[in-house]
Amino acid sequence: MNQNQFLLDSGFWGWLYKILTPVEWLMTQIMKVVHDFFVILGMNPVGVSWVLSIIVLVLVVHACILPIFYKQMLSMRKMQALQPKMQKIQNKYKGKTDQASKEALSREMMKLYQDNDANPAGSCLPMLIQGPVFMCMFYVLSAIPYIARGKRATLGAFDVETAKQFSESKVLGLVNTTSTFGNGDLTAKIIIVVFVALMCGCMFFMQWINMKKNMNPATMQGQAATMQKTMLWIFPIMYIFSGITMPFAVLVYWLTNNVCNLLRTFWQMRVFPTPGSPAADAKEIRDHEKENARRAKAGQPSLEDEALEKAKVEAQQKETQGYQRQQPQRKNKNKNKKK
Amino acid sequence: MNGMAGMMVRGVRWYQRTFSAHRAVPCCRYYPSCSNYAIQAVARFGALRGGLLAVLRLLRCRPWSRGGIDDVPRRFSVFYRFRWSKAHEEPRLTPLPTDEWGNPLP
Repeated sequence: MNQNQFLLDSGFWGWLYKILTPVEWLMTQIMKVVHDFFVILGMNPVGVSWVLSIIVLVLVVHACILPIFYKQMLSMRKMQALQPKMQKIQNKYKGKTDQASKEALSREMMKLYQDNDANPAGSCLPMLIQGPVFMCMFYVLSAIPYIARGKRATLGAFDVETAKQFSESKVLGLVNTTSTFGNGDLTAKIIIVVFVALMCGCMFFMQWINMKKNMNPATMQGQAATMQKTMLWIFPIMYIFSGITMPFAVLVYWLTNNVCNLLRTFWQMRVFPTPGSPAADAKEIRDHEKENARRAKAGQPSLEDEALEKAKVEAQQKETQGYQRQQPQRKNKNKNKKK
Repeated sequence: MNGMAGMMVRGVRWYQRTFSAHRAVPCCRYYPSCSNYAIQAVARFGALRGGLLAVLRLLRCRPWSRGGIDDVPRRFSVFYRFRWSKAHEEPRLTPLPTDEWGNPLP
């Protein structure tokens, strides 16, 4: 690898990263501030404090994206409330398979969503944002060794001194933040392999549990299912190939990111599961038990007892009044007769 | 449709065939979906202007946007979403009548 020229600064990628400079600048500032804070707390300015600052940076990025996810989930909840109206529209076009009816159905559905401020789909933007953010992170962390050697202009908060501090940092005194699988020593190699394995494991587990627990089995059929199953393998394998070329600092970022994603998935499955999925069934049972516990505490009959009581009353009514349904009567029947 | 527009449409169709056709959940806040919108826009206004409309549409697809019915305008304007625009059209619940090739009648 060319040690004297920072290759990411040339060609198309250089142009792209030039556009993303504000984001890179912001990232370096956040990292520096967090690092300085840890130094104030008494940590060594060279070492773990930099790794912690990377981790905090991930948390900051996730805190920025979380409201978007939250809103999306609230929107899903609204969708459930709209179910009857949706059923109505679907019934209107039942059994019609021509193109025009299909289009009219989609349009009416969309109108319903729009009028009620609910939308089943997320949007492309969160995904589109996460990509460049990760690219910036990769760029900054790769540029630091070059800045430290004076081969590249300073970037944001990383002047030559800070960059030197950063690139001399060692995690657990074992692996350098800037070493890759290619140029590290044996311990570095082993630790990098462990990190990549953890990353793959996290990603795989997240996708797997999402597929297993948080998807409606009715939608998982045919090609959709095949696609999902392929995705399950593609991303972890991509990680293996890209993971061994990245500096260790990027791996720290990546692993933290994956752990955060995994935690978010768990939270989402618990609080806002997809309707019709096993996670949703589990939540229903949980809610049921919670309600019973609350009632037991308040001295009220449990849900089952209440249902039983109701059924008993109904059976009694059938006994006394017969099985005939009582005909509904108009309330102003007599009034009209008088007229 | 000239060469550039044809290529763009083929590219979008390829995307639809390979990626979006196999998704388990619907993924667009708008109707028609962004890819269909792009095809219509490029077919109607050519690669440059149609492409611009398609890019603007992608940028409109944000978490805090409301989504809904958003057809390609019959008359080109980048401001067609605003009510004051001459190209503005109210969202239609029924599709426009089309001729036998699927193009809207004037």
